[in-house]
Amino acid sequence: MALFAAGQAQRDDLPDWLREEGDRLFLERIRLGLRLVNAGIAAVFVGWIVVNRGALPWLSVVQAVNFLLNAAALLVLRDPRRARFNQIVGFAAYAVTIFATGAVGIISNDGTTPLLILAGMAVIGAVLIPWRAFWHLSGMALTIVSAIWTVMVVSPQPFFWLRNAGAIAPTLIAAIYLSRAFTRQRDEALLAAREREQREARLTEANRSLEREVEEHRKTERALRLTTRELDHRVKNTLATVQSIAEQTLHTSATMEEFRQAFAGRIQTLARIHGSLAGRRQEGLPIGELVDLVVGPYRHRTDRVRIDCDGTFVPADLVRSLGLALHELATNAAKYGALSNGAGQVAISARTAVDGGERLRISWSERGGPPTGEPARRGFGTRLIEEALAYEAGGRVTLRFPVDGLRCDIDLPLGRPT
Amino acid sequence: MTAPSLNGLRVLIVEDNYVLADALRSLLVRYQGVVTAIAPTIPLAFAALEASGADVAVLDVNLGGVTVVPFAEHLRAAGIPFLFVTGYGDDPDLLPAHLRTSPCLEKPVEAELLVRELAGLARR
Repeated sequence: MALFAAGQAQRDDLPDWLREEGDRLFLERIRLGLRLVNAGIAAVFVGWIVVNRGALPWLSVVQAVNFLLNAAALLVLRDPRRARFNQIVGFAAYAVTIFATGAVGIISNDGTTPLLILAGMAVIGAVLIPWRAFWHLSGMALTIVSAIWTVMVVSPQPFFWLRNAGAIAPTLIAAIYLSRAFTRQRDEALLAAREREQREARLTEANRSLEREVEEHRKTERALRLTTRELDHRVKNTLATVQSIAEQTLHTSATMEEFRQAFAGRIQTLARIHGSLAGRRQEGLPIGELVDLVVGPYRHRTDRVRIDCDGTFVPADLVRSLGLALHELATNAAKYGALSNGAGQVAISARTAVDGGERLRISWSERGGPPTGEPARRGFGTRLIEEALAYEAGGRVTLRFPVDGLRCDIDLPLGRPT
Repeated sequence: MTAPSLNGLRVLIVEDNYVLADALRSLLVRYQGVVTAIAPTIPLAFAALEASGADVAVLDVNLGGVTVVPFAEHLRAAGIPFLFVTGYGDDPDLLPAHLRTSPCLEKPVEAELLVRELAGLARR
């Protein structure tokens, strides 16, 4: 009882599907056992009848059919593809035993009345009891009783069958051997089926992971194609920019040397900006870094350039035009402004202000340089300061030339202009 | 072949990159064109067209991630010829089929080719 309770507790721990599977296997084993016994007895019975040379011909036919059907059911019992067939054959075995025994009792006048009564009871029971195991039990009981009854009552002498034991034994051994062969074959089939299932599961899993990998590859390839396309686009735009800068620099340069210097400065600035953007996945740069990047080459002495920037992050689409504008301011300061003599100073500050949205305000103010004045002509450099940021970013730029030094105030909305 | 001339053709430039727009403007002026405006975005392009008009237009296909197609369709409806410039090469997905009848030049644009195409558009 304690053992049962322990078993019950273990059973409760099992997941539903496993419990159901266990129940199913258990019932199947019982059915198999009953069927084996039935087939064995039927075999013995037939063996006996053969030894006694055709006694009870009708009953022998019934039991022979009983044996054959049970053997057939056993042979295919565990093959799941023939479950339906097996069910029908198994049922037929019992039905034949029950009904045919009854029929034999009626049509042959050889004293099988008790069998007739038993068969009748089985039929009534089968109708009344909606339980499949009943067929097993009543079918088997009928087989056993008819066998014993036949041997005990119909044989010429009581215990005549003892003499025939020698003849029955081979049949019995054959039946046992057969049943064991069936069992072994069933187990092997079961094992093979399990292995096949596992192999199929492994194959399916391998296939699935392969498909996942292929899909992954495909995605990477698509992304790579897009990136390549985007890169191609950037390169072409950059080349177009370089070409345009070259043309515009050429048109505003008086001498070849002037062109060489201005062009090289602008291209180097663009190159440095591209390099830094690439290091930041093309997302943008903090304003301080951008100012350092562009003005750095002109800071021969740090005390003459004061940089005071907050941590504002300048998005990539503003970086290039803002960088070019700052470059033009720096190169102008070095050529004509506060950095062109030994004493002048430049103060650069950048702050983010909130004024109807975030705005970046940059102030560039020079003092101590040579006296300045309005330039005679506004060249490409001036346009890059005054117009480019207004054009690309919707910013406001004021460039003034008081006598004590150039002042430039840049006011940029952060985020895309609409 | 003689150098082509735009003979006072009025051109609207839609290009989000100032350096390119500025250079394009200088280039067209050198070939006797009149640049009515340069515009970096579609709303500004509409405003510029309204304010200054144009005989032809040069359109950058990609305006900072926004396609120029709506403005091109407006020009098509208004009967103003135009051509595209693009850094994307001959990508078939770039433009809808009905706009592919307009010329599409690759960046960097070759000056005389551009001028010849524009003059050709004006004659059409």
